Formats: sequence, C-alpha cells, structure tokens
Amino acid sequence: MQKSISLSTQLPMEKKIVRNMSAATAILSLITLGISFYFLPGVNFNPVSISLFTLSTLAFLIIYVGLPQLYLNETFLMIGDALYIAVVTYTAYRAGEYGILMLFLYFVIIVADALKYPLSEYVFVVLITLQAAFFYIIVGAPFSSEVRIGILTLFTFCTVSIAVFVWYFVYQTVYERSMRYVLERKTTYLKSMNDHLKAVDNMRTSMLRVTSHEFQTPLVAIRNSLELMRSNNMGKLTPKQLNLLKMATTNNERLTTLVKELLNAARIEAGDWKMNLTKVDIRDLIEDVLDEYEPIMKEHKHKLISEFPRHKLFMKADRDLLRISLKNLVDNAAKYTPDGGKIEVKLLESATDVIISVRDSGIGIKKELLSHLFSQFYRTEKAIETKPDGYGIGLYHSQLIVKRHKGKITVISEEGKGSTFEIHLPKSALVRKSV
Amino acid sequence: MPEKASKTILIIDDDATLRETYQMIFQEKGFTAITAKDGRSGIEAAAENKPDIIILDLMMPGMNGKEVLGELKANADLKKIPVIVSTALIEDLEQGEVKSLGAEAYTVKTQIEPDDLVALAKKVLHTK
Repeated sequence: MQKSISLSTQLPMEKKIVRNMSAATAILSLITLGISFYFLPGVNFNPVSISLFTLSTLAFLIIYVGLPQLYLNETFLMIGDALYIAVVTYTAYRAGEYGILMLFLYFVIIVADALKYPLSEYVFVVLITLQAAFFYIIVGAPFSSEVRIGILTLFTFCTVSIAVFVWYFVYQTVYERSMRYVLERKTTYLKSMNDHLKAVDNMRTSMLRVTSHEFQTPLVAIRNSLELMRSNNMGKLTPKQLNLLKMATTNNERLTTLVKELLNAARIEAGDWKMNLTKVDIRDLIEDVLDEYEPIMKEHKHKLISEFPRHKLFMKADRDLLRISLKNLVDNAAKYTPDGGKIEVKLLESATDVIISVRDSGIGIKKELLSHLFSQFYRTEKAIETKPDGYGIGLYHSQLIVKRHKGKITVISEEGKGSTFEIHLPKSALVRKSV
Repeated sequence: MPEKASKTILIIDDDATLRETYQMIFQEKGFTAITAKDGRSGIEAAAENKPDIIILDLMMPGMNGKEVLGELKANADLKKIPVIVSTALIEDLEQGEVKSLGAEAYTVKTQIEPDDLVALAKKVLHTK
C-alpha cells in the first residue's frame, strides 16, 4: 500500500535521488511535527509520550514516503505494514465510535491500492492528512489533557497538512530538478549509444562488403578453372571426366547463387541496400523480366500470358530491387508449374494500389502453410519434392524489397491448382509521365 | 595506324588465381594477356606495355580500383586505353561512379561468364 515512486523503470541514479529525497522529507516532516508539538502549550512531554509520538509518526511517514521499499527488504516492509496496522488499530480502539471513520479511511486506501486504482495526489494528501489528524488527536489526547480537544484537533490538522504539503512541495521541486539532471544524463548516454550503434552498423556494412568479396572471389576462380578445363585447349577429356566437371560447375553455380542471395537478403534486412529511387515504367520492368524468362518458359512449354493497362504507369521505385522481387515470383511460377502450364502476369490497379499479379497453374500451397511462406529458409514439402535445390529465401527477399517500397505481397493459393502472388505498391508512389 | 596482330590485355587483380585464370582465358582467345597484382604495379605495367584494354578489379588492398582508374584517366598517355571494371561485389552501387570516372564497362565477376567477358572486351575494342 505504499504510495512511493515505482522503482522498476528507474536508473540507479534515479533510485538514489528518490531514496535521499524520501529520507530528507521524512526527517523534515518529523522535525516539523516535533517542533510544533513542543511549542503547543499544555502538551505533557514524558518519555512514554515522546516514544509513542516518535514511533507512530515514523510508522506513518515511513509507510507513505516509502522508506522500507527504498532502504529495506521485504521483511522490513512487512514489519512497517504491521506497525502501521497496529497503530491504526490502537488509534481506532482509543477513538471508540469515531474509530470507525479512521478504519473507513484506512479501508478506502487499502481497497484503492488492491484495485490498483490511481488515487490522485490531492485525494491521497487529503486522506493521509485526515488519518494523521485522527491519529494525533487520539494518540496525543492522554498526554495533552490540559489542551482543549478542539484546539488540538485544529492545530494537529494544520501542522500535519503543512508537513505533508512541505513534503509534497520539496518532493515535486527536488524531484523535477533531479529528473531534469537525470534526463540530461540519459540524453548524453543515448547520444553516445547512438554513435556507438552507428559505428557498429558501419562496421557491419563493411563486413558485408568484405564477406561478399571474399566469398565470391574463390567461387569465380573455381568457375574460371572449370571453364578452362572444359575447353579443348587443355586436352581432350573423357565423357566421365566431362560429367564430373559438369557436376562441379553446377554445384559451383548453386553455391554462387546461394551466397549472392544470402548476402543480398542480409543487406536488405540490414537496410544496407541504398534505395536508388527513380521513375520506373512498371510495364517496361515486367516485360524486361519476362524477356529474361522467355527461353525458360519455352523450354518448359509454359503458356505465358501478359496483360497491361493501355496507359503507362510510372512509379518512384528502385528498379533493380523491384526487378529482383518480381523475378523471384516469376521464377517460382516457372519452377513450380508442371511443363505445359499457364503463367499469367498482369499489371492491375486498385483504388489504392498498383498491382503486379503473377498467377500460375502450378503445384499450389496448402492453406495452413501460407502464413509461413515469407519466412526465411521456409520451403513447403511439396516445393522441396518438386525442386530440391531451392533455398527458401526468394520470397523472403521479395517481401523485404516490397516492404521497403511501403507495399506488400499477397498470395492466394490452392494445392494442386496453382497460386497467385501479387505485389501491391501504394499509388502514392505514382509519378506523372512528365515528371 | 596498322593494327597489332594480337590485342594486349592487362589484367589488374590482387587475387592470384583470378589473375591466372583470366590470363589463360584471354590467351586462349588470342589475346596477349599480361597481369599486375595491385593498383600501383598495374599503372606501371600500363605505362610500360601500353595495352589495348585493361580489366580492372575494384576491391584491392592499397590502391583500390577507383583510384587506379582515376590515375589512368588523368594520365595523357594512358587515358585512351579502355577499362573494363570487374568486381566481386554483388551489388552494382558503384556502377554509376565507376562509369563517371571513365570506365567503358562495369561487370560483376560472378554474373559474367568468361566467354561473355571476352566478348565484351572484343566489343569495347571494336567500338574504340
């Protein structure tokens, strides 16, 4: 039931400040009350009254200022609570029928705390002031018999209010100032962290460059050597040797493609691929990709259909990146469609998007697997069965690229019937031809 | 000016196996191929041999390909030698920059087959 500041989100520096401030305000409030009572005529000071006064005041302040939580462990916190309950019970007992009000206030605070109801600072101050007033009147009464109860009530109420408001004022002022200091420290810290992260990012970029270079160079050297061996000038090879060379070449190509795709994906994921935004003729881009795939489509006897709107669509985009993204979709359509299939590539428009749709009559994808489709290295069993040499990064790559263009890729598929992948690019990226 | 019997190509690359394999590939296609293992010795070899064409790697220790290209193009005797930049980097972010420095063509090693590189060299020589 402590109304002290939550420490969970604070830095060590903040904890220290709050701790010192709480101690200072507790002492300040105690001294204020002590001095006030000392100067109150008629108060009978003796060791018992002073002890009781000190103990109960401490219990009261400790509970609300939250000292146990700051300085002590859970056990002491429970002792503090027990002490407070004892004081409340004793006061209520001494107050007789008025004690009900005291208990009622206590009950309100406990319930509010249990329900995590955020009592405003003002309500809280009023509640503890009322409680404190009751407390001092009841506890103090036997030791101040010469003081009229009305004057004592008024005096106690005013004194406690002053003590609490002084605490509140000191708390607010010092806390705000301290927080400003902490904030400045935090800002400096975050700035230095930011610089550090930038340095790490630059290092990663340069690592990627070096890795890319170091991986590709030996692959090119292997390819060149294999190519030279296959040429007639190096002597005639037996069919078996030629077959082995062909296998080595094929696997070298596979490794080259994998390295290239992995590095590209890493680059795009790291945001390292600078977007080179230009005015791109989307139809031209699609035709460019389809031209590249024409021999493959012919080889597999696929019927390739393309459809474009009459007017041209120019968009602000990174042509090379978009090309990779579309190429992956067309490549998948060609790969996962049995020979003699139908592949349709259309350029469409919706109210908000420019859509590049790639539809195939291929193997399709089970509905429950669609959500995994864009995950890195994910391949459906059917895809592995159809084309064992894929890596499951093409779609992942495509999606990263389209996302960088603030677009999305959607898929509709039915196992055994085919799939439709659509690249949606926001029309906000459309540019007029004249631009 | 009478044409030389075979064209001389200078291959500047820090990787020994690449230098050697490209040298053999070009020799097989009738070129006189000479090599240099870094940028500085590449410029010296160009000044000494006056090759007809240069294949230049980009990422090299010490003097990188762009610096070599800049120096070649700043040299009155060498600036007319066409340069094909060949890089092992996968992206072509530097393509524009390299071309603005005066390279005739930009190729990515993994993306161009040896035969295509020879054909490109021939094409560049033909258009010069």
